[in-house]
Amino acid sequence: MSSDVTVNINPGEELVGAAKVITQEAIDRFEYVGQDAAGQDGNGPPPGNIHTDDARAREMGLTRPVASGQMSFAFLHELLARRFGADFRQGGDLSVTFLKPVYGGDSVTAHGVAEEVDTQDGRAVVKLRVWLENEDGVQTCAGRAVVMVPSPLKGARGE
Amino acid sequence: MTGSGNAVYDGLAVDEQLGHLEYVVTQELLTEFQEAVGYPEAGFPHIAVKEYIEVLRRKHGPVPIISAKHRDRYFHPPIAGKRVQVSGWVREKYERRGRWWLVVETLAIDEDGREIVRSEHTFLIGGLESGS
Repeated sequence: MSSDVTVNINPGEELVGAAKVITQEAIDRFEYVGQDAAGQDGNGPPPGNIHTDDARAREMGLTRPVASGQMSFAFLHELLARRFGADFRQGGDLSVTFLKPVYGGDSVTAHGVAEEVDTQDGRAVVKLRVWLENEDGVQTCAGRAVVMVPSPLKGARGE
Repeated sequence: MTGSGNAVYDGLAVDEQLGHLEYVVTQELLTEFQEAVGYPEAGFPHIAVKEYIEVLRRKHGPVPIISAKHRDRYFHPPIAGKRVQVSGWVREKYERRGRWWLVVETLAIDEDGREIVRSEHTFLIGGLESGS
């Protein structure tokens, strides 16, 4: 795990992640993680889904396979983990609404802006608006995050 | 109100406990996740494991869904080599504008009792064409 990130953040500070090019291969690999984990206990891997299977995508009213919303969620998680380190990974709260599909071939970039920074029990409470934007500038998902700095959980249980 | 047309959904009860999922966060799984999202320090593979749908599938079988919202509250990153145990519950179900929605909460803890993450996932049962 990375070293912690020292945080000194002010309202209005903007965060911008690296652009991610979403290939169908990357979508497939993301789904394999779930298949591998779920298949460990003998219940069998999840069936093909709208992310990997053309026919299933069409059955659900989509024109072709679409990246999992969780993949978008992972990119916002990365944005916050890079900025806040263990304070986000141990105590962070991230909530996202999925707005538009992300397809193989799309490029998306994670964004955030600190809207409020309050103090509570000697800790900074940072409230952010976060979103993912595609190459056309369209938001594909958007939500909010809360991070306490330093996290009250950091250092708990010997970490 | 008429049913959703999905027998699993119609039979679900609010606060019903769903199936149980266990998996080991192996270094291979972690590496696979990090490569899939292009972030070598990504530490929460549960994001890709989609525990919310797995706990539903383990009790009721496959259910077609489209995701609408997701919330995670992080407590501790999972440790490679440790077994993660996931429990899930139906927290809400409702019809809105001709579409049928489900909210599932999951809690993941590791074999030492460390809380990993508490998640809430809202999804649409059936396809986009089922709505108005």
